[in-house]
Order: sequence, then C-alpha cells, then structure tokens
Amino acid sequence: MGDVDDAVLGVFLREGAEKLADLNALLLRLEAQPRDHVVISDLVRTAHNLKGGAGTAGLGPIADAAHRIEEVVLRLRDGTMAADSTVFDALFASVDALEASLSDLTRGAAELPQVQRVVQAMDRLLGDDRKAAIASDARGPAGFVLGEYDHVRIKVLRQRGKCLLRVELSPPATEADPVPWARELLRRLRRQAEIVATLPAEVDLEPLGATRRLAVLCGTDSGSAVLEAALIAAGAEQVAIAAVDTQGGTDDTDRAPRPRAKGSVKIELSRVDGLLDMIGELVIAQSMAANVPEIACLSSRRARQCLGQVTRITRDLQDAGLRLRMVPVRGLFQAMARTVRDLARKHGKEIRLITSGDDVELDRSVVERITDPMVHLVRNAVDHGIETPSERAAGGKGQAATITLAAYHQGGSIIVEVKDDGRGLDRDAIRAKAGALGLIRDGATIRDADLLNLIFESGLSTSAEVTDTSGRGVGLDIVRRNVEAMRGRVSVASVATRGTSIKMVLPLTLAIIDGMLVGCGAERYIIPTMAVVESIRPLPEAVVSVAGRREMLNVRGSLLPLVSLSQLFQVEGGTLDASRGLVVVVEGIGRSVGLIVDSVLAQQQVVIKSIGSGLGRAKYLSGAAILPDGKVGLIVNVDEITVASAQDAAALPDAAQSPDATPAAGAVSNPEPREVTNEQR
Amino acid sequence: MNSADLETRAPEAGGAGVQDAVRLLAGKYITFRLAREVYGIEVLKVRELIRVMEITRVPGTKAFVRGVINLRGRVIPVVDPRLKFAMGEVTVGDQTVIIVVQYEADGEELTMGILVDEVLEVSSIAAENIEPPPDFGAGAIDTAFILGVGKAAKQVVLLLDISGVLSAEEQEQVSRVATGE
Repeated sequence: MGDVDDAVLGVFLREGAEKLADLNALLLRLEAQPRDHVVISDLVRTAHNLKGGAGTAGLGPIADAAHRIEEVVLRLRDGTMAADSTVFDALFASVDALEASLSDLTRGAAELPQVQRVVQAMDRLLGDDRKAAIASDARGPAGFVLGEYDHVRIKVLRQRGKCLLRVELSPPATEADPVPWARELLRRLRRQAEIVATLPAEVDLEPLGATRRLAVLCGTDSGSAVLEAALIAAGAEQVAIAAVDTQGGTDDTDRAPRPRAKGSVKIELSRVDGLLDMIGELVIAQSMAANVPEIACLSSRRARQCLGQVTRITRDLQDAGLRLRMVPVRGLFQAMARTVRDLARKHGKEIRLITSGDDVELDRSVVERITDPMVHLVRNAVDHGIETPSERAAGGKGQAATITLAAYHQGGSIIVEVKDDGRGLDRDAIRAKAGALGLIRDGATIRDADLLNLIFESGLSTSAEVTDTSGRGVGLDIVRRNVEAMRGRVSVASVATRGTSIKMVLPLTLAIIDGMLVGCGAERYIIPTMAVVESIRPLPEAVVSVAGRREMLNVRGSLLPLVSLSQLFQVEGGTLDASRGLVVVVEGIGRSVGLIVDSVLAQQQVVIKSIGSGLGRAKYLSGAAILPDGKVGLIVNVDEITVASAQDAAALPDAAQSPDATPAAGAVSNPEPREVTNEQR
Repeated sequence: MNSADLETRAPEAGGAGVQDAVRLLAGKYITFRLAREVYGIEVLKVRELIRVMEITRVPGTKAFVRGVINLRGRVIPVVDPRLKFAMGEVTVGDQTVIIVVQYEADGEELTMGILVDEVLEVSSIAAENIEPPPDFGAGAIDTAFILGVGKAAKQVVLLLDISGVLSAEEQEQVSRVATGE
C-alpha cells in the first residue's frame, strides 16, 4: 500500500466514508423492508462503487471486502439468501469494520486487520448460502446470481418479447468431467437462446463436478419443446424447463419513480468560509455606503432605486451564502437509527424509530455539535426510558416502543426533538436525589417544569442510583452545556407511563444573531435578542436596595437583580442608576438579570466575529460585530453576567447606590440563598 | 509554551550565538516613531498601513490594548506600544498610523494593529549595522521585545519583536481566545 497516490487515497477516504454511511442507512431500510428492490439495487450499487473506489486507490483488501458485501446483497436480492437477523448483523458489523479500517487508514495505519474479518464473515454467509442454493428446489426462487447488467439484459429481452426460461439439466452419467461438456452445451444453446446467467456461474463451472446439475436462465423465441429437443440432442439428460415468473424476484423493471439525487459538487470548507467572509465584507461595505450621509440624503429617484437593488441583492447573497453551510439533519438521524437498532438488540427491546423533518437544514457546525448530545439522548431513551417488551405488555402498551426524532422550524429557531413512549421520568426519584444534592430544600414547592429540568444538573446525571431507579441522567448536563454553548436551550416534558420528550432549541446558524443595540455613554453594545425578555423604564419606587448593597428591581412582585452595563464595562458617562435609564431584562444560564443601559438604539441582525486575538480574556463579552456605520460593536455575554450574578453577588460590581438609599426592610430577608425555581432558568 | 519560548530565544542571550542571531536580523524594516524614539518592524510581517479609524474600546482588557477596529470586515485588536513601554499613550493626530502586522504564534495566525505616532520609511539594515539589544541590568527595562539595535541613515532603530510585544502569558491567552470561541 506504500505507493498509493496520496491524492487518490484522500479522495477514496472521503468518499468511502460517505459510501459506508450510505450502506449503513440502506441496510437499516432494508432490514425494515426486506423486499424493497429499490433499496437492494442501491445497496448493490453502493457496494460496487465502494469496491471500485478501493480498487482505484490500490486498496485491494478493502475492494475484496466490498466485493463480498456486494455478493451477499446480490443473493439477498435474488432471494437465494434469507434476509434474517444473522445476515444483517454480519453486514452491519462489516460496515463498522470497514469504517474502522478507513479511519485507521486516515491515521496512516499500514495494517488493516479488520478487513480480513469482514472477508471471513461474508465468506461464511456465502458459504452457507452456496450449499443452500445447490440444495434448493428447482421451482424455488430463480436462484441465479444476477449483476446489475444482467437485470438490464432481462429487461431488454422482455421488451423484445422473448420469453424467459429457466432450464435445468444434468450431464449424462457417462461424462466423467462435466465441465467441457457444459461449455459445449452452452455454446450450442446460444444459437437458440440468449443466456443471461447460469448456475454455477459460467466462469467457474467447477462445482458442476459435484452437483452434476446446471441451471440456465435464458431468453428465447423458441418454444420450450423446441429447446428441450435441442438440448437432449446435445447430450443433456433430465431436462426441465420452466418459464420464469415475469413479476418474480428477478424483475426490477417496474421501479417506482423515486426522487433523484440532485447534482452536487464537493467544495473544501475553507473555500466556503472564504466566500462567506467576503460576502460578509460586502454586506458591511454596502450598509456603510448606504449610511454615508451624502448618499442617505440623495433625492434622485433613480439613485435610490439602484441603491435599493444593491441592498436587496446583497441580502439575498448573504442568505444564499449562509445556506452553503447548511446541511440536512438526515445524516445525523441516520446515524441515530443505527444507534437505536444496536442498543435495542443489545437490551432485548423492540423499538421502532420514526424520523420526521429529515430535510430540515442546520448549520454544519451545529450538526457537529449536537451529534454527541443526540447520542446521549437516544441512548438514555433506549436504556432507561423504554421498558422491556414484557413490561410494556403488562402496562397495556404495544410491545414495540417508538422513538421519534423530529426536526422542525419554530420562530426563527430549529427544534430537534427526541421523544420516546416509555415509562416517563420518575419525579419522586429526581426530587429525592436533588434533595440529597442540596439542589432543592426538603418540602420546598417547585414547579413541575423546574423539577424536570433538574435532570440537566450535573450532580444528578453522574449518579448511578438515579439512573437505575428513574432512568435518565447520563451526560444530560453535557447535553445542556453543548446546546447552551450554541446559544440554544433544552427543555424536557414527560408524562408518567406515556413517555418523555427532550427538545433542543437551536439557532439557525452560529454566524448571525439578532441583537438589540444599546447605548451606554458614548459606547454601544449588542445584547443577543434571544436572551432579552423585556425592557422596562422603571419607576423610581420600583428600584429597591437590598441589604444596602445591591439594587434590585421590583418586576410585578418579584425582585430582579440589577447590573449596570456602564459600570460593568467602566463606561464613562453611562447611566448607573436604574431609575434614570432603561432596564433590559435578560435571561441566561444562571437566572434573570436586569441590565441598566442608557437607551435602546436599534434591533439589528449582526454577523458574529471573533473578538480578535491579542486581547487576552475579555470578560462578559462573547464576540464582536460590525455595525452598519462600519464601527465595531461588542456583544454582551449574557450567560456570563447572569452566572456571575447568581453565583456571587460580589463578583459583579455593585449597581450604583445613593448613600441615602434605605434598605427595603422586610422586602427580602436574605438575598443569597435563592429558590431553586429561580436558579433553573 | 513558556519553555519553548525560552528555547527559541536562548541563542540571543549570550556567547557566539548572539552574533549569528543578529546577522539573521538583517533586512528591510519599516521604521516609525514612538514619541521621540525610532523603531523598526520587519517588512515581511507588515500587512498594510492604515489611517486611524475609530477604535472600539474593549473593556476588561490590558491597558495597552486600545480596542478593536473593523479592517474590511475583520475585527482586529489595536495595541498602543507606548502604553506597553510606559511612554504615555499615543495621541491620535494627522500623522498617526496603524501598522497592521501579521505573524504566527503557536501555529495560530494573528493579525494586530500597532498604533504609532508616525511612519518614517522603509530602510535596509545590513548585518554589520546591527547590535544585540543593550543590557540595562536586571529589572531595569524589559528588553524582551527588542531584537536588536540597528543603524540606518544616522538613526538608531530599535528593532521590535512584535510577538514579544505580547508577553508569553498574553500569547497564551490569545490562542485561548482564538480557539476557544
């Protein structure tokens, strides 16, 4: 393998991985519908392409393995091999082994021990099958090993009005070596019929010596009697001729029209990103130009029209550019289908997987980042959420459980949902565990939604007891962390005995956010609109000082901690006093906080940029964006502020307080320990 | 990362290695003025010179970081070397220029603007006109960011190591910001 051209190998490694993913998906579909000829044909084609690719890249062993897989699938198609779970297990294992081999190759491994195992496993299947085929009854399934081309020929023969016959014959007992005899016979047969396939295959007639039985699939105009006479004349004994059922197993002419894959090109990600950067610059340049005072006040109608058109095209270009990075969630769902299948078999559970919204598109990096969370969620659903078939039967449910993966748009976000119809979350166990961990106080009332949300707490997730009793928990804190790192949210709903649903609310893209542009002194900051709950112009009497230390805002009866953005960012001349400015109520990981700002300037869609390297750690900021006037605006990291505010009031600079501020005695007796209801959002 | 830094800098620290290191410094420099001192940055590291535009202050960063600017859609930091060298901050005027430099640190490409009082010229400095950085005695003046002292057209040019402008610890923060999002 040493002289393999690196470029060819690279192409194969990329495409091979895709082919294997396709094989996986197709096998899953075939397992669900073993008679689906379209799927089988796709399988054959994919395995065949894999074989070709491996051959081109000089990876003989992989080509061999792929060839064996193709063989097995061909037999499934012809019905000479029963599509049972043993076969599927072996095929799935082979695909896995090849995937592992490809990643070995990517890492530069020279030895591919896994591949040999694939070959052996497939040979075992083929070996059993070979015997089975020989022993099979003549009136059984057609029994021929047909390639793609053979199917085309059968189709053509039919179109020409020939009848398709299966001819079975035996060599005369006197013939010691039937192979030359068979060749001669086939040569003669060709004069009268078109031979599509023979069993054993014409290229390797050796097995004839043992079986002394030759089957020929051929198309002919001659009647079967004429053919029989000719064959007997040629020295055949025991001739049996049967017409092959035209709608039978070998027929795949009546394919249902199916959606054709759209044409596509492969582009390196760096090029796409380069293009997106340029589009981003264009968008900014355009909006800068439109905001130049001399241009903005142009009265010429034609000039305005032109400008309007430029604006529109730029926006369209930006949308199109962003769509370049979008990929459908289909691939992710397919990978999950495999996980579900394997886990279900391992745990002896019957699970049906339903997916919807496979074509919903997400930013590539979003898909990458929710892959692990998805695996966690699916695994939890299978391991803990879904009962064993007997438990289900006892509970009056169907034995087969259902896991639903759904993706859909909702209000500018994309929701990816994992739903099961299992036993549901055990609220008592969650409460007990949360109590033990000190997350809630004994006997404290807690809203049901908040109680359920506790499953995303890290303490609960690592605990074996809760996992065993209530199900759920492994890595759910990681799920939440991953999703929230993308400015998304997770939510859970569960009904006892009816099942659990976990939703991940995800941003359409990581590159653009809706922002609220706020002014602090002479500076401007961007608050992600997703985090904004409301903005309030507080009445002076609604602002209360707690323990003489922190200002809080009374919002409809509940107290909201206040943070002055100007003070946090040491802005000169910014408003520190809530009653003189505006309060933007934001909601982050920790809890809600009121940010005191001077003014709300605009709602703005902004392209998120890295804040630039060389700055060290910029606290309470999550990025930067170019504002329409070409200047840089900084994006406020709401989560960081709320977490700091929730963890330790002293971590944030105190909101301004006038010395004569009277502590609102009795309003709040103790500012530190907070009800879990407040911690949970 | 710290130790690697030390290793790369070790040959400059003493003995025969110093002369070799200094010889490597020969080449073209863009010279500029900070207060009344003349500094030089290797031309190859300079991407462009831009006029001063409005700099957005980034709260919570080091004092010598003036903020960030929009360089044709890219957000890059601008540092004020006078603040770093305790020479009082650059007062923005007609002559003030931002030198945009690009260099690699720990495999990460960094782009940064350097605010200077005035850009002077591009001069070639030959090896024989370069001296190792002067030693002002321990703790007196931090010369880590001075690669050497060159003489060109009767001027003394302090050859600036731009990656040294950010200390090793700051570099580490930089790459963490760059990769950690």
